[in-house]
Amino acid sequence: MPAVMTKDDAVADRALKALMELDGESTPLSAAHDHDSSKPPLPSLDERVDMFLRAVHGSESSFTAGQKARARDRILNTMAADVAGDLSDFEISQAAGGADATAKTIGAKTIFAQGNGQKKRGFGSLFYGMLLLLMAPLSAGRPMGMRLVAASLITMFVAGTGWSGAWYLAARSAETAVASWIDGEAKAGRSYECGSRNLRGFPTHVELSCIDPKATVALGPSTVVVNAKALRATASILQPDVLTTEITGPLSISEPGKPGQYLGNWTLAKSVVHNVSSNPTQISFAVDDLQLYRASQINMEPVLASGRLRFDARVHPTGPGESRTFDIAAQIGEGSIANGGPILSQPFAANVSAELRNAGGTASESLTARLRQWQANGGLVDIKAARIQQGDAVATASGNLGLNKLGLVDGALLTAVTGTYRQLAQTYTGGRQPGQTDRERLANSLPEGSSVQSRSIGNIQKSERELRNEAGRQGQAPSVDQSNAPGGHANLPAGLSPPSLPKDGSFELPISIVNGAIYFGTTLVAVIPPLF
Amino acid sequence: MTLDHLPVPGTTRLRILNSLPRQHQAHFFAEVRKLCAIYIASLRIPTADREAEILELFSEVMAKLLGVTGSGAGPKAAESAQEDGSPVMSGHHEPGRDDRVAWLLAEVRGWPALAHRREDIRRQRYGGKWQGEGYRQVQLDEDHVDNLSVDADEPHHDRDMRRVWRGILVMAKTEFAPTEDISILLELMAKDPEIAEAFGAEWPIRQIADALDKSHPNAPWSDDRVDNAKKRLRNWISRLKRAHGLDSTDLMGLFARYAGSYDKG
Repeated sequence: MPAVMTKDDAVADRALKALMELDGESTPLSAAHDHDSSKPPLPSLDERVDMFLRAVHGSESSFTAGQKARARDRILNTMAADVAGDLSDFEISQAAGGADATAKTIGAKTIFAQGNGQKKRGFGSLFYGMLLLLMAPLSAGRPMGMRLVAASLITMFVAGTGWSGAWYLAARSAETAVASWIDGEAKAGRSYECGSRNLRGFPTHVELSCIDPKATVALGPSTVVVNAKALRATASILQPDVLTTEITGPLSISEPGKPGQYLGNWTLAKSVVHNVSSNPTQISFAVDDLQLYRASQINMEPVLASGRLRFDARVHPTGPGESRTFDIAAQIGEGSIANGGPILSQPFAANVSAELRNAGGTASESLTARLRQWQANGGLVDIKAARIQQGDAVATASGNLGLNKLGLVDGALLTAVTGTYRQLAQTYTGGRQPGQTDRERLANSLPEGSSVQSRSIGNIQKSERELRNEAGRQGQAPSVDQSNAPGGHANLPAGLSPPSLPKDGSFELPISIVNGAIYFGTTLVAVIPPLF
Repeated sequence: MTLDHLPVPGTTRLRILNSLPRQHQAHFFAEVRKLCAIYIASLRIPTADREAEILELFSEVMAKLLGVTGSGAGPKAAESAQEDGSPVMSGHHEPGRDDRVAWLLAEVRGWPALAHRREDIRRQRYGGKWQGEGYRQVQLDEDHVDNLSVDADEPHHDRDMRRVWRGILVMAKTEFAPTEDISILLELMAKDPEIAEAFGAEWPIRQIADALDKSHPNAPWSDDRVDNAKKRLRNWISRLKRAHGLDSTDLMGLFARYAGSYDKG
């Protein structure tokens, strides 16, 4: 775009004024000035504006200055776009060649551009540019051109037929694949249904849409039913092994025959799976504005929420004979867990990158079976970096997690905490019972801290005593009586040690998970039930 | 579509519409509004939203009908020269029996325009693409209109003037080769502050010739050569005004908007 002078623009006005007044006319032109009186005249801009206003508002109306100005602005914008579109078409027809003015007009005046005035550089212009190329020798009357046209048309016909056939085959293959998959899933205890199903997407992709999808999944001794509003799975003809799925909420999770116990909704829920036909090499999903509630007879209680949730897992390149490893990246923005205590019920941002090693199993297996297999293979989650932040409170961690033969989580994380988290971490140290009041006070100091009480109603965090007793009943951690030994640490599980002394600006807090029991330093804070 | 059945230029439709008596125009507008209502109804849009959708579609159709140009650039220049005027039709005192109204309505129905106009609306509303690049329309609000003036102290005046110049230069590029005298003259007027300052009641022909001599020493510039370029410029500006039915102010507005459309493209 040519640069024009930017300084002394009042001076530039003079040159512009002189240019505009070159023909000496200062009043709108109308029929008297039309150089060809044999044709009806084009209306002036004022006349166009008047027609537009009468059309939209009626002949009987009187129009305000604002209405006139808006109409004028709109007409001028449309005229400018019409000029721009016309020039664009002219460029296309020039590029297509051909000296015939008629052919140029055909190239310029496509039915897509007719009366449109927009720049058309997309599929429509391309198609008509091709048509122009084909028609130009025809209009020139050359015999050779006839053969070229015929050959081109035959080629287009064959290509179109071939493409249609390929799409049809792909669509039928997709239907067969879906039916086979549903059968396989049924054997693994998962069944899927649709209220109605459609297959479409010609010519560029195959799209399977499912209205009122329903999944019935066996989770151990219980069964859950998941309902959503719609599901759409798409694969491109050119990339058939990449499957994109979108789920439209709301979603409900319940036991068979009962009303929804959990209800969820979002603005976007989308997943992409690469190499879907065999072992996936990449799995990604994205969820925006997630809200999950637990529904009771009285009300709906928030469970968790997230402004932005992203997950990506890709097969890590490994050598032959090596088991599959996935590189995992996950991110949560504006997340909150209403049942997560006074801290996690506040909005937080978190991200994690990790390696999932020795991933295996087949798609037809149940989740429980796959977890058993993974544990038997020595599966491990190597957390490279994890981070959570709430205001000035930041915690970073690295470590690894796995499962033992009982299906209980074992692992260790080394965590560095700053800001409010540091003060919070110190409440778990010092050889005394953890202070619930301290934690609530600190939670209130986080951004939006004043909502602690409303979020944690009915979910008062259990004391360590209660946790130990509960864990003790499950055989996971020592009971509280034993932990009251002098020094407070005598009965810690092996490997645990008191936290290190604070360093400049940060506090190192080792987190240990032993048989599912989570320790912050030496303090038991939570218990994870067995996963199988 | 065959060679014998060329699309009718938009300017022909507008000429015929302009030639109709007001009563006939009102009848035409009402019929087009009905077409829009039928189209919107076919989309199964909720009843509560239909009226607004119909009005929006109708105003978009009318804007497109009234916003066609007989530009000085591109094939429309050739088309305007070849245009044989309106089809031969007979008028009638009753709007419903006027051939011109029937022809116009057939033209509207003949377009795939209603669907395209709706896509235009969607694109303008959400900023999406319609088979390529699009543009945004900026609606003036009441405050803007009340404060609108041509006072040189207006805050956006300088920016608007620059956009006008950009529109002129871009449109001229499509009409004239860069080596033509008229293109060279316009570039000088747009970019040389000394030349711009010299403009007054008369064009500074001598100064322009001297400046062009310095910048283009290979082909000497005389006063006559500058004057000839000025005459071509005058013919071009006159043709643009006549073709679009615009005065100087509106033509500047068209140039500025064209620059905006070009930038977004």
